[in-house]
Amino acid sequence: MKSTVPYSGIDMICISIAREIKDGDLAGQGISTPLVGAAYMLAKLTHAPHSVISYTVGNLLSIDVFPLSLLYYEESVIDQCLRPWTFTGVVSDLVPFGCIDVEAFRPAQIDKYGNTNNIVIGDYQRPKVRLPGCGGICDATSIWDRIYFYIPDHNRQVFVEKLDFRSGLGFLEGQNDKQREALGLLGKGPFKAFSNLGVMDFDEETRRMRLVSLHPGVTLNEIRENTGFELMIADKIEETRPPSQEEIDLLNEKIDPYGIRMLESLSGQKRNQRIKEIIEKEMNARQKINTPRHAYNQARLIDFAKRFLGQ
Amino acid sequence: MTGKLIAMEDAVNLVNDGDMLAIGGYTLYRKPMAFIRELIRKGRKDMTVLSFAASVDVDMLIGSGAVSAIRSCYVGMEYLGLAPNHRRYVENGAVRLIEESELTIGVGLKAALQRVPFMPVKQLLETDMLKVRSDIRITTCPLTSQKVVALPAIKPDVAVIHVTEADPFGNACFSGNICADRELAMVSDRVILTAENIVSTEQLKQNPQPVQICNFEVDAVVETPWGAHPTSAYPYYTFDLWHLFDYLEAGRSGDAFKGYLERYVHQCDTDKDYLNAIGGMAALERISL
Repeated sequence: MKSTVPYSGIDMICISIAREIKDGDLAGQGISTPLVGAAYMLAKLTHAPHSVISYTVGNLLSIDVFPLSLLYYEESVIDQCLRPWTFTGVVSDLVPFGCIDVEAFRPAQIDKYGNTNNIVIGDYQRPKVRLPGCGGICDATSIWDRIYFYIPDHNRQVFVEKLDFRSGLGFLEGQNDKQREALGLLGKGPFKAFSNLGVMDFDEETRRMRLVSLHPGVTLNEIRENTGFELMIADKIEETRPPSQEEIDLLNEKIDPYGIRMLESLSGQKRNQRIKEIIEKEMNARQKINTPRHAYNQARLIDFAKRFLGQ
Repeated sequence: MTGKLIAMEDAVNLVNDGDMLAIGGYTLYRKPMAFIRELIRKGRKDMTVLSFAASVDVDMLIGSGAVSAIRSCYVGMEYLGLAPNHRRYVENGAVRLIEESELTIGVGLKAALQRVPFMPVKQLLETDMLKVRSDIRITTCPLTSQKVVALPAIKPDVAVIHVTEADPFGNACFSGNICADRELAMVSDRVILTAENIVSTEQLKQNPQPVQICNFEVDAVVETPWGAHPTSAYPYYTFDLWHLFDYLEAGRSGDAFKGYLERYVHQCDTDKDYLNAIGGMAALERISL
């Protein structure tokens, strides 16, 4: 199938996640994953209008769609909050009870059974790279049934034969449902992984990661060469359905006009440069909304600073 | 109710070398940064810092040599990348890490509130978290014989929490990113609030944001306008990305970071010095919401 709509690998991942959301789902978004937020909002604007989003920023539940922002995300999320929560409440009540239906995580490393690492690269005691930490990935992956992974840059540093640390639970070494139960595990294991090259699920018998569809223009060889373990291949590999004009328009116009989701595929100076460009644009386009919440005591603080600084 | 409003220099005396210091807020949101800068100026050391999800708060303390152990499920700068001092100190083995997840902290605080030594959960089984945390044990439920994981209670010595409004008695409002602040205020031995605004109790009750922390939980209140900078204090100001870029640049080496601390911490004895150092009114208006 040929698509005439221009799109990126990030768009393909974003739209693939959006298509997995069912109407009425409670979908969780983790720290610093704008692509996932965009995907959930896209689902709300298309086939899943009644889904609810649990945002890590703000620690709350939301049913609104608002543009992604680097500078004003906290404000947007809190101002449009449906139900405030606390982080302790989310992690010790909402998560263990299994209220959250679905979440997409970004692993630093993933193995052929969908076990993941977000802790260190290299030896744990003297790591080559210390990563931020696992957040709630180890808490969620061991009990939920619909876990997705997304990998913006499909390569051998991410898709590894052996993890440096197992902080997220996949299918262990291929244990079946009965064996999982015997180990005391509640969740059924991860569901799918989306990369910039293709879509993988997990074979029902061996529990190994299996390629089910390639994105348009990607070859089987390309994905094999960029995977650090032997990828199972489905009997019939599909071509991933490319983004529609509607999906791309919603992303570019309503959900992410600044292209913040694209940061997920950038690193180093390029990424910093892009961030600086975006925040300048956001500053210039800013229209202060003076809701009572904002006006309250705001003037006081500015006055204080003026007096303080003798201006 | 007695007044608890005191000066910053008196409030830092509630923190001792070697304490487990809990820091409120969440990643780049509502961190008690003015207090942290004062702790660095006073040369506090050997602290175990507990920060549910940390960024520049914990990273700055690490880079000043104040920290011996870190308890956090996330230390990073959100979309700005890795926390530079955290990364360097951990990679060199210069600081001890007590590996945490959201659950180990959330449930650990709940256990402390219940005054029980541990709480059982069904998560973390078969992960390497159990290999690096010898104080987390797999055990058998005495009632059902189920396999459960015992998470130890966490009881900080002292907590410092930044709020948007407080009265002089220690009642306080804030909203969004409430994180673990209510539990920290309940469970910590000593509790210090730093506040953007000091208001009357009557004004506090009229505040559109609810009271989240009550006076009986609090030992000291310090007035610190713009005290969360360079993190955010909704609904007043967002985080200062321009400053954070400078921070990250300085964090690339130990020497450059010393220069940062000299310029923004040691040479800024007063709030006014600090606000001028970061760029004065222009910088504040840029981040105002």
